[in-house]
Amino acid sequence: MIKYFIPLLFFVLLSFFLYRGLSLNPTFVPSPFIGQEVPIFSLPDLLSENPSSLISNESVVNQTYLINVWATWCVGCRVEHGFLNEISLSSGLPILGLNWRDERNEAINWLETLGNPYQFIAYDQLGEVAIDFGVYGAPETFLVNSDGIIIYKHISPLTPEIWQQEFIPRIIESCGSYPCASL
Amino acid sequence: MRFSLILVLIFSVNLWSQDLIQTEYERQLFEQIRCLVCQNQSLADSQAPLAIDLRREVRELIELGYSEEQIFDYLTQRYGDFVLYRPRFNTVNAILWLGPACMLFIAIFGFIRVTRTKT
Repeated sequence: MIKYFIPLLFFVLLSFFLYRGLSLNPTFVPSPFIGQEVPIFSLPDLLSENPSSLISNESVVNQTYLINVWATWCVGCRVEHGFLNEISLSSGLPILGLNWRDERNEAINWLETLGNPYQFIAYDQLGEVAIDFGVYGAPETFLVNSDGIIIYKHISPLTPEIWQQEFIPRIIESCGSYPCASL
Repeated sequence: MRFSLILVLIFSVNLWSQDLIQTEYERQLFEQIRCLVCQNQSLADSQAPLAIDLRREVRELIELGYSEEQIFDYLTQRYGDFVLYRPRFNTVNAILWLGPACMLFIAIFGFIRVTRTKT
């Protein structure tokens, strides 16, 4: 008797997997960086004419901060820029910008017209550091805790909903409060 | 007219050649690596800016004397297992590798049982 149910069981199982597949996002790539230390980097300062002025891990030590990967050719970055400006004022977190494969002048222009939410901006003209961060589509935003561990990564423009749901609880965990009280 | 066409052809080949795949070793390596921007293309096929950067990076690693395994390690540390077209055999991926064989085994077993009881 039981054996007549075996095909049914298979059918249900298969349906479950196929149904599940409908709601999966194939462009989502889980980041191997969650729980890992921030890659070591050192790049020219976008806003400085002096080539020896560098932005590196040393620029942000002992504090929770955001790393935001952006570029002027990236439409999603324009979408989230207003919200980044808001966060930079309200969250108590410094934002480190990683300007990715961009023209320096255009990037500076962009900040002059749209506002600058970043404390520091590292200029990754060749996209070498971006590879070390596993970047594959801007905008990407990393949340780093005061031990220098990446605790969250978001790909695609930041929105108030995502900020509320994913970032704020983790910031509270890391800082003890929101907005984060800097040390 | 024909001459200028030929010129155009020669010139276009030269434009690409800066980033052309230079050795057979490079090609077979690139073919095993996924371009994460256009996910159904390998590094060997893709002209996405990230693919160009990754090809440059992999070339540098080859020059530094990295083995194929070390290059794959380097990439999976940054982009996860997804970057490899041929998933590695580990505890998470075991079901990918063993699943089809298990299914085949179950099917053969079932088939034999069903046909035997009928005859």
